[in-house]
Amino acid sequence: MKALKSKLFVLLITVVFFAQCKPESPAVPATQTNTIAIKFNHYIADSLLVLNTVNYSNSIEQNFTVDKFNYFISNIILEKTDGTSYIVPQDSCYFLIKSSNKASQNINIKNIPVGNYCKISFMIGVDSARSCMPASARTGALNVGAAAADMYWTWNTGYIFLKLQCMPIIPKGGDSSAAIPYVYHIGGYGGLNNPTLNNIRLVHLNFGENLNLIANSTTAQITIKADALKVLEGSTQVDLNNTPTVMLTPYSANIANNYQNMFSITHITN
Amino acid sequence: MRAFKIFLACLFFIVLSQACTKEINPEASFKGFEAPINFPLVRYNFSANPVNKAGFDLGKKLFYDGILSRDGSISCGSCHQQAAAFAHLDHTISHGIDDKLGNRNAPVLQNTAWQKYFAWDGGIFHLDEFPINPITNPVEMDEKMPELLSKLNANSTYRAMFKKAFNKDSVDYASLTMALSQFMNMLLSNQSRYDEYLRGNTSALSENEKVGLNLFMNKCNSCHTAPLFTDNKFHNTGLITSSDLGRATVTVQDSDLYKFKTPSLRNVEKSYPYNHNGRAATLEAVLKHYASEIKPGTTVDSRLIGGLGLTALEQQQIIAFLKTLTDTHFLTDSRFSE
Ligand code: HEC
Ligand code: HEC
Repeated sequence: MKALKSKLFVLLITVVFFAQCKPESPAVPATQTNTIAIKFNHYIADSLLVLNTVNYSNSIEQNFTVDKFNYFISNIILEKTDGTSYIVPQDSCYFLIKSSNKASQNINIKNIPVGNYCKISFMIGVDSARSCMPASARTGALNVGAAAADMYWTWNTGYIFLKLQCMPIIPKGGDSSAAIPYVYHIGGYGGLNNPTLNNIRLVHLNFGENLNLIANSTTAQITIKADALKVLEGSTQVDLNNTPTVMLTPYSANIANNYQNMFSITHITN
Repeated sequence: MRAFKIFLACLFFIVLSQACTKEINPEASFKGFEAPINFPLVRYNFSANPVNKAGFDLGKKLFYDGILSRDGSISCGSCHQQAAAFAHLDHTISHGIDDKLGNRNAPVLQNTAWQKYFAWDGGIFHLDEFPINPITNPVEMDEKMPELLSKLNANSTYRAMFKKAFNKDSVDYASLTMALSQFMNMLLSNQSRYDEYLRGNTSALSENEKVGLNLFMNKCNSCHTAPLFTDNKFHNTGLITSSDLGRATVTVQDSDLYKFKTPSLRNVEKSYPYNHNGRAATLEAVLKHYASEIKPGTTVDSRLIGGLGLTALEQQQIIAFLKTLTDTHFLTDSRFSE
């Protein structure tokens, strides 16, 4: 009997001990969260971009159609009016936006704490840390076996941050087989062992009006204009005929500087 | 009685056959990756992708399978042949799909686990990231990665092998490259006569070869550093310059113009022709180049400017030493054969 009592006592102590170890239930209620949708609309200057069929021209009167306009967005940060910010976690902050794929132009950022937001920042491209991770840590938008198959340099390991491919317009009766496409593949995360070109660019956009995220809203949205023409204009006017192809050359930094300014906020929906 | 004898015979046979299967059980005898003690620390992160029998077998099957190319005609093994230490036997520049030619000489594949850079310009920093290069290169295998993955997923043998090796229900990019790395990382060459000499057998090298070894240590070892015979760096050795910018292709820096990765010299006797462009057909031609044919250029390595001043005899002695790096065991090891 005594033995049983002492056994029970030990048991009791153990139970109490473990009960104390249990993490305390949070005193403050969990912060309420909600989703913000971000919509990217693609333009050439003031008209919505239409692939392949519509003729466009740049400010030096060169005419072209657009075949492809793809880019990576990553490392998104949303800033509140009180100066605090929400950093979108690493496992859900990489997006590949393609002009040929409507669904890719609408991204949803989940679990954002409610509050008054006034600014968004993001990276165009893929940061060096993620670029150097093994393939098993580069999934989803970064999977080079699927979504990112044509956004990856295999001769110089790394992602292509932005691709703009255009075709010159051949005058009626002209020789279309001689047309040289305009190809801009911009990448370069700075190199793993030796410093090399770093074309990672950060974008900061102030909303103008605030986005007040509340718990039960289903409409919170940031609408962003991406003007593909700005890839080729801005601090450097790209002459399509003189530089029809730009990949990993020092000149590519000019194009990255150009497209750093291609985004603007068109709408904030609460 | 006769039935009993038959029964006994059967029993005996069963026991015997079981004993035999036990003895040759491949899972048990498979040793995995073992680094030779005299080699430096490996660079490949084996904890992320340890070699096991299932992964190695899968990697080997993939390496020798044309399914990796667009039309099934070219495998990794077409350009990387065991008898040449997995270089392309007797090809100056690689020869791929539809008889298309690349612009570089296929290098040896051996001791990959110690390599810091891959490709002559070092554009690829991880072995796992290499296969996508030849697979998608239009002049090599010309396949698209999503297409290759769906071909493999449609193949029940491959599905089963990927399941066994990586416990994945479908074939994905990461496992594909990890399997190929497991095969390549097992390609260990450390059983040449020179290695025997290092292990203490002083008669493994002749007197002439030992003189060659000494000359090599003085003239060549600073770049082709033993025991791997590479410094994992890039140099311009004063070959004729060409449209191939070398290391500068990936670093975009003029100071890297025409620099190429120092190749390992293990099995060099068998991996002709030589250099990134495959222009030197023989070791004699390479030695003559180092002795007296270094072309000037702003990025040429200072150690080589003006040539290494080797006499004809010294060149022969160095070549004699280089031939002691031939590892017949490696070149004929059936574990690696198609
Ligand atoms: C058409 C011929 C060809 C085929 C097919 C081919 N390779 Fe290669 N391989 C080459 C050439 C050429 C190089 C040198 C590339 C360079 O430096 O740009 C090379 C380089 C390599 C290297 C780097 C070696 C080093 O020391 O830098 C590895 C690893 C490799 N190949 C693995 C493979 C694998 C795995 C496959 C199959 C998926 C494959 N190769 C298919 C021709 C080929
Ligand atoms: C300054 C560094 C350096 C020195 C010193 C040097 N090499 Fe090299 N070696 C290289 C590099 C880099 C390459 C590749 C060159 C290329 O393809 O552009 C190479 C290529 C070779 C090759 C061709 C191997 C192949 O697989 O294609 C041989 C053989 C060779 N060297 C032998 C020697 C010998 C023997 C010596 C000494 C007499 C020597 N090297 C000295 C850096 C060096």
